[in-house]
Amino acid sequence: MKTRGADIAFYVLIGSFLGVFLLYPTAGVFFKTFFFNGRFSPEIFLHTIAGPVVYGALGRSVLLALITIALTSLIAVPLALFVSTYEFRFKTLAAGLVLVPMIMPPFVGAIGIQRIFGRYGTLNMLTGTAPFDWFEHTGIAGVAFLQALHLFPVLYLNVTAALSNIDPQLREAARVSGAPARRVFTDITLPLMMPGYLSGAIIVFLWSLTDLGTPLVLGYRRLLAVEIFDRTTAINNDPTGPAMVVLVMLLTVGTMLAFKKLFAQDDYAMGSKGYRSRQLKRPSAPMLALIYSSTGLILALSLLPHIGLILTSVAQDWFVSAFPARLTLGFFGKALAAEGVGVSVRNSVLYSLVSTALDIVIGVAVAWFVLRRKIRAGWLVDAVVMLPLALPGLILAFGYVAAFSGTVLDPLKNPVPLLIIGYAVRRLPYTFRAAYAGLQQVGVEYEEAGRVCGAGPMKTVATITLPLIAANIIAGGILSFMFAVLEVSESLVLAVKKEFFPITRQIYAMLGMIPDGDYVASALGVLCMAFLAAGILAASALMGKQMGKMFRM
Amino acid sequence: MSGLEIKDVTKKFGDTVAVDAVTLDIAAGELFFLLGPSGCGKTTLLRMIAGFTAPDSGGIRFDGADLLAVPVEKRSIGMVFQNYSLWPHMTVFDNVAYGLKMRHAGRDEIRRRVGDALAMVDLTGLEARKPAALSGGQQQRVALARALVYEPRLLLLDEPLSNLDAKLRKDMRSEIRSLHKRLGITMVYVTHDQEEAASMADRIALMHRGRIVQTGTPRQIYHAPACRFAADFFGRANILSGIVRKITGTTAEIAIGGHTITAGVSAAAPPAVGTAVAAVIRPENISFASGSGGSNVLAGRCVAHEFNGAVQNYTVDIGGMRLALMTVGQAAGCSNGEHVMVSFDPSSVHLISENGQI
Repeated sequence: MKTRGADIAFYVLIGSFLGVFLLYPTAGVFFKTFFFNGRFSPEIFLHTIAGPVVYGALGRSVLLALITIALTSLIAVPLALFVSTYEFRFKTLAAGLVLVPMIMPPFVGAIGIQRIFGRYGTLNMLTGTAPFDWFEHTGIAGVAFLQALHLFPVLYLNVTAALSNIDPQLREAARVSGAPARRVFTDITLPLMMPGYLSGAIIVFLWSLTDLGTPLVLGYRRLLAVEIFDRTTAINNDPTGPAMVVLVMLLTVGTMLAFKKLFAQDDYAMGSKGYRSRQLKRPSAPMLALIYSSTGLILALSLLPHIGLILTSVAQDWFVSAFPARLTLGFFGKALAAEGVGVSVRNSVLYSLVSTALDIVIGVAVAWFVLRRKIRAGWLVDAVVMLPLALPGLILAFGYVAAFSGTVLDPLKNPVPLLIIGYAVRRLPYTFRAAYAGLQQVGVEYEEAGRVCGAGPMKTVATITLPLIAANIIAGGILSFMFAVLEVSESLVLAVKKEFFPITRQIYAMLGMIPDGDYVASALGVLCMAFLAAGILAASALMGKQMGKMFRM
Repeated sequence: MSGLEIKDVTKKFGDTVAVDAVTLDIAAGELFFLLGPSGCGKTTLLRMIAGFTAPDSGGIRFDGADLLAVPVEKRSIGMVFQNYSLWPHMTVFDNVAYGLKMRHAGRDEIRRRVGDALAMVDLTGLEARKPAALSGGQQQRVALARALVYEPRLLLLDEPLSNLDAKLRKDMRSEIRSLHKRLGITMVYVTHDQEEAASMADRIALMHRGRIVQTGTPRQIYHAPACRFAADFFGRANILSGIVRKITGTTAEIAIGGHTITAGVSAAAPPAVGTAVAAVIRPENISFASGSGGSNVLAGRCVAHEFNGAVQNYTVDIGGMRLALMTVGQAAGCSNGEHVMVSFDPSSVHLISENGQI
């Protein structure tokens, strides 16, 4: 009976948290879309989605997401195969650096990209092609290219994790049956890594579909995410904005459900993982050359925006030349001394720390209940917790404004509680998945042994379970924290007064300040980036190959 | 010569010598066992035969041809893995058919031969199942069918029964044994279970620390272990350290602590007086005695007693020297603390030289 009470308490607490801060605000968007003057009227929605603008934007957005998946696959799959098949020098370094492209400070990232790919950017100046505009001529492919450079680590992590889960003996059994290496790959490796690949691909798809930053930077505006941004930020309270948000959400949920339906039963549990650790091969000389050249090229390309940003932050004079004429560290000093920076750093750290703490508590609790108590509708809880991974920040931010204005949580009065909760809700998937992966690895027998020895359920979790999955929790927490620090949408929409600015909002405010706002903002962005790069490397070291599970539906 | 020849094969992993200068001749059609404790190098040796691991030195030939020059998939070997390694994304049929597809067999032929293979292991009707929907014993049979369907010349089995429960393991032993009789192919079978090896093998190579310490039939190894390790690992044994005191014809007097026992020796090559030896006496060769005269009759006290159904095990303390003995059925026994006399025949004492032996 006691455990029954705990189950009910869990349902009530988690249910009300997710209900109030995830489902209710997003439901507000549905309400705005389908109700007019208090009456149900689906005409606005139907009219909006049938219109040629939305229709075209939807088509282009889906096309963009598909191209991005194709490009990320081209980058990530060979890379994952190299890393999990071969032993080579600098592998650990490469495997760590591969994750860095995911960290790009907002707004100033665009400056870095412009510095490299702009009309008078490094690329054009080095190749003598100035003033060619790379992105004007590449259109949707350019957006997909930049998205792929940013998102391929998600797919890479998923595929690496899937590959490491394949019992090496399954391949050996095929070899001994007479299959040449090529057939072993197509018949055994490929089908077995497919579920992992697809769960990474779906995140890339949804991320690309809802990505606002890249199209804005490149000025490619005829996409769903940009249309939504334009219409929800319009002054006249355009009702077609919420309608399009609903469209994206339906698309997201539909894709996720279709994915679950199609591939859930195919997630082969590979019973025993064999008693030998996998043996890595030494690559042949041509293979080694291929590994180094392709890994080098991928890293160089995907880190170009970062390099551009770093160069900008130390550039004394940089006009119409491939590289800055003179270098200075002065902008870092200015950035740290600028008004509001100290406050914003303090705010960001505070918001992100508290939101991460919330994520850890809720993520671990939900993972434990779903896995260990095998609660009813566990799959639904799982899906709801993972939903924010595909939920555009803008939707939640505007949902909060609509839902909580005039209440005690009114963001105009004090946005701190909502900022923290908003950060927490959208980063919950990382701690949840990390704890889930840890619990799956740690046999339930350890907990049972604790219970048999006389520890109560809470005591067992505290003294046995938590220490055993500590590395997973910390790694998930680091990711939650990092992405909270990088958060844009909620920070921009909810933090209106200067005293509440987080660092991303501060960087945005510094841009365009006379005379050297861009440079100072870049310096601040670089500091932010360095801090977060250290975080992601630490998380990857702690989680190892488990890292991929954090970006998995 | 046909069959499998392993010559002077060595394999190191870093500083660890996993397989140390192993030489073996396995006859065609033999059911040959590699037996030893975990970590003795038996699986490494098997994986070198399969081609997953290359030896650092030495050669492996099969039916006269150099096997090392042939890639795994061309060796025409069947293999059953310890955890079966059935492909989880394929049905039972597809798992078994795979090797035939790789050999470009026609569709009808594949259907017929997969059907035959599944019938052979008694799994007809389960073709459409995925491995996850099978019991451990069924998975084991699919693994066997998959390894045998393309009629390999050599079948390698890596602890194939270790994941099964005791009853099923016993059933599968006789099934594999009868399959071997029926098909007549060469089988190399790795196990750490000496009972399994004793009950199934034509011949056994006993491995310890990467080396082969003895090769022979189960009977040879049991009755004439070549070293202390062989005596201890293969069946239960009393192993007593002593010194040869006197040789008289075909008997030797051995001093063990304060006792003297008599052992049978070969008249042609008796051990030298003064050599250190280990005297091996199997528990079933010691019995309770009534009188006190004669050689190898010793007085002691019963210190432990264990009932095992058909047999009973006793431990008797003879002035500090402990002997295990075993009686069958209703034979006379003793209770703890009881003073008893025990005896054994000199011919049942097997001597192992301790010089340079394990």
